[in-house]
Amino acid sequence: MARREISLRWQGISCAACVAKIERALRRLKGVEEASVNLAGGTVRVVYDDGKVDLNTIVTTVRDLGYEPVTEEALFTVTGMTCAACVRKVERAVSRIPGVLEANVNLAASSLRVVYLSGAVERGQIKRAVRELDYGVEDRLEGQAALEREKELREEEIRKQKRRLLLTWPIAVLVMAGMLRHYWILEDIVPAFLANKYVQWALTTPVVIFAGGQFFVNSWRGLKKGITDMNLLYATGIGAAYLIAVINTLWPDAGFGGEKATFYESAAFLTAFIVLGRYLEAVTRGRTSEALRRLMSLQPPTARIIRDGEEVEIPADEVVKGDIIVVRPGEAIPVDGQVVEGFSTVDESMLTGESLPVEKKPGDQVIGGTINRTGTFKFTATRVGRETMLSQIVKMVEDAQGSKPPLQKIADVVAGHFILAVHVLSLLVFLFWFFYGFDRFEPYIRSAFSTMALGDIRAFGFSLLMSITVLVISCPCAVGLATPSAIMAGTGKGAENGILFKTAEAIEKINKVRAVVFDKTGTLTRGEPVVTDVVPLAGNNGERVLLLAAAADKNSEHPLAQAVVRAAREKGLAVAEPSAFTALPGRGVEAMVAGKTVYAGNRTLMGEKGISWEEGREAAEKLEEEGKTVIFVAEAGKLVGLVAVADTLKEEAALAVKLLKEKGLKVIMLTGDNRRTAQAIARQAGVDEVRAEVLPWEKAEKVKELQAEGYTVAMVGDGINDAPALAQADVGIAIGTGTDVAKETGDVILIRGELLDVVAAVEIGRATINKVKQNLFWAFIYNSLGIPLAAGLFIPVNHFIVTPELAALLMALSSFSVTMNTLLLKRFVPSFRRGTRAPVRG
Amino acid sequence: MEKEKKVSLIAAFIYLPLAVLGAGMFFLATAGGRYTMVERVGGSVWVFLLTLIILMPLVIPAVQKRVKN
Repeated sequence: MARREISLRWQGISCAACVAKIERALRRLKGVEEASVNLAGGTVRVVYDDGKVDLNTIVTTVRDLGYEPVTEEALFTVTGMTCAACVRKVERAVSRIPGVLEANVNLAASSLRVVYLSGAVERGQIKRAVRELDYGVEDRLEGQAALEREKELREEEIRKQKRRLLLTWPIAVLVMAGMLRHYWILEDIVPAFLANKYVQWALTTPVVIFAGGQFFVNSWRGLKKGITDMNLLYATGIGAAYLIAVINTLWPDAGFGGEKATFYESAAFLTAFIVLGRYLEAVTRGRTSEALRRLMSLQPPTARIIRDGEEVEIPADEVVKGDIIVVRPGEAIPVDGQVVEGFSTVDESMLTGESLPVEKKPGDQVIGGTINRTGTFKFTATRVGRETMLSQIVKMVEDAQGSKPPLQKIADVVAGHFILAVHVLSLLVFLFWFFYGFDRFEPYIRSAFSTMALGDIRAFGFSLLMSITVLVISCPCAVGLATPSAIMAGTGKGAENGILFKTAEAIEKINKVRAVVFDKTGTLTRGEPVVTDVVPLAGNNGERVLLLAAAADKNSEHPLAQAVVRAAREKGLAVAEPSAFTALPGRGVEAMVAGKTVYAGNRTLMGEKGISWEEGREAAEKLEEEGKTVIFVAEAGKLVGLVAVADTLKEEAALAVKLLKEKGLKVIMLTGDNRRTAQAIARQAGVDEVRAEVLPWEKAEKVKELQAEGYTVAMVGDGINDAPALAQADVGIAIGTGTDVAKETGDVILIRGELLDVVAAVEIGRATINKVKQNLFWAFIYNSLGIPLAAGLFIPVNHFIVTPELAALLMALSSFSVTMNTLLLKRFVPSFRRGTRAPVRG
Repeated sequence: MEKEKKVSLIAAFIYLPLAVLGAGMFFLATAGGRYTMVERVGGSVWVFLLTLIILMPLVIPAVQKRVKN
């Protein structure tokens, strides 16, 4: 057994006691020869005999002591995978490397994500394991480079399959023509030499070797490691057909159907159809990642920056924070920043889905990747490289596309075991037809796609034919493509509409959501108080009341006071400067305006100052009933009016709630605000149920209660205080204009912060999962009908058999139809946008 | 590498005899003159191949697991 040395990094090794504890525990393990801990580096070096102890035991031993290993993540691009069985094959081979904790393949994205123990695994080891299975593998690049490399690899795969197509199809047609020469008028057209068995042998051999060789090599490499994939189905199918054809050519009396029943056309067409299937897959598979490609291509390649007072054009990825960048009309903005000079309108639709251009003036933020429309402006770069919003969006979409929803994990496992089951079935089919079926049904059997004279075939030839057909028709390619292709299209569609799904699981879960919980402030409402009513009293007019309140509040920093000042300014009123000002915490303000004492505050303040507010009581109570906060304004000891301030509902909130309810969802509002205000906002929004006066940490509890009642819950929030509830919910939907904490916690991010996007997110989730279900349905239906058909189950009824080449055609069509069905998602437009405008371009 | 070789060898000692046994049983079951020798031999080879393909992915991981533990 081999002596190995390994150095692993661990978290939590903080003292000499930890060192002693770990070293002692490891040295006790049988097979560990040396164990030393480096406290400064947090590393544990172990020399061990891998015949006596394995890496898992070593890791578990240290883990049990309360330390966590440091893990790393690596992303690779894997080429040559074609089905769910390939996915399982690669995942299993990589998972077997000691130190690998997790290996996830996304077939549609051709990506492999590996989580491994830092120090235990080299990236080269992972690549070698994949290459040994005869797949191409390389480090996954990022951003634009990844885009170009992915395109290059896809084109290379298309070119490779195209070359094989060009070799296979003309030859297959010639072989078929030779087989059919004795029929109809073909004798006059097809040269006699083509019907010669040796010529057909010579023609078919290069097809089997050059185009079909890949299946033999790949399946043998997998089989040696105890891993099967669909290459094995093809290899056994093509190999057996070819071998019998050769036997029939050399020894026609061997009992395989003789001269009239050579299988050359089967071997040639079987290969041709499989290669056609691979070609169609390669062409269509790349289209599902188009949304991501479009996103990545939004960043312009260059930026015009000011250096030493002059404009210089440099590559966009060389822009650093603080650079001043000039953008002219029609140009794309290279990085995120803040406008310092100029005025313009910017089209942000590609990132936020907002169709109207947004005005930009000094102080406003601009987003990299958006298009400047009207004027020239300068801005300071504030976020560059991976920090830009565009890069983060791309990363999130990539992560979501690379993750697996539970549905797909099941499909992969099923497909992985499927190959073995198919071989068992193939053996049973062979034995059945050999020992029983052939004698019972043979005289009546017709072939659908072959010129073969079945009457010449004996039990072995016929049983073998049925057995091969079962192998060929069973390929689970469509099952493998069904889920990832739809998830990629769905996440891409989300990104186009300003909705980021962080994981594939988020899409699957949002489809199951039955209750949507909204936070109030900042989510359903604007989160910023505005003056809604001014009630003049004692012969004053509204303008004067507002002016007095604004003057008194002018120097206050309280949000309600600022709302009053803002309202006065918006009305064009000149707000006077108070000659004296005192803030009275929890009650209001006292100020000297135009030589008179003015109070603006609540009832308590009025009471304290002995000012009667009876005249305003009725109006105040009515306003408070509506959820508004009332400011009493008094001048020279007398109440002159009331100013009502409230956090108002977002414009689209009521429509969003209505649409969600129409979809059968229960809508609930959670807020820390008082019951009266909460109910007033809920009434306006049309929310069914309100849970008011909820403390931040209780929000998660409320979500838990709903889950206990059996609801799958989506929580929509924007604040730090919403983070626990966002995490607790089955799907956390974070408002993109909210806090970073909320965005990090949420599973879905609404970039532009519009509530209607909650509706769009639910619709996209439902459309995507519907597509997954349709795809899986068709893929499984194909196999469920195809296999009994191929096994000859319907022969007693219709005397019809499916030949291997027809099976190959059906198999190719199933993958093609699944991918085409997925591409229909591209037409998806959220219901509230249908008929009002074209889908947002991305 | 050594471990892999050991796994391959032990596994082969299990799946090869089993596949041969399957093929042998087929050959014996077809005795009695109803089938030609070509059919019997051809059938046995096909049964051997399919049994081998079925057994390899079952036996190799099982042996791997056992050797690892």
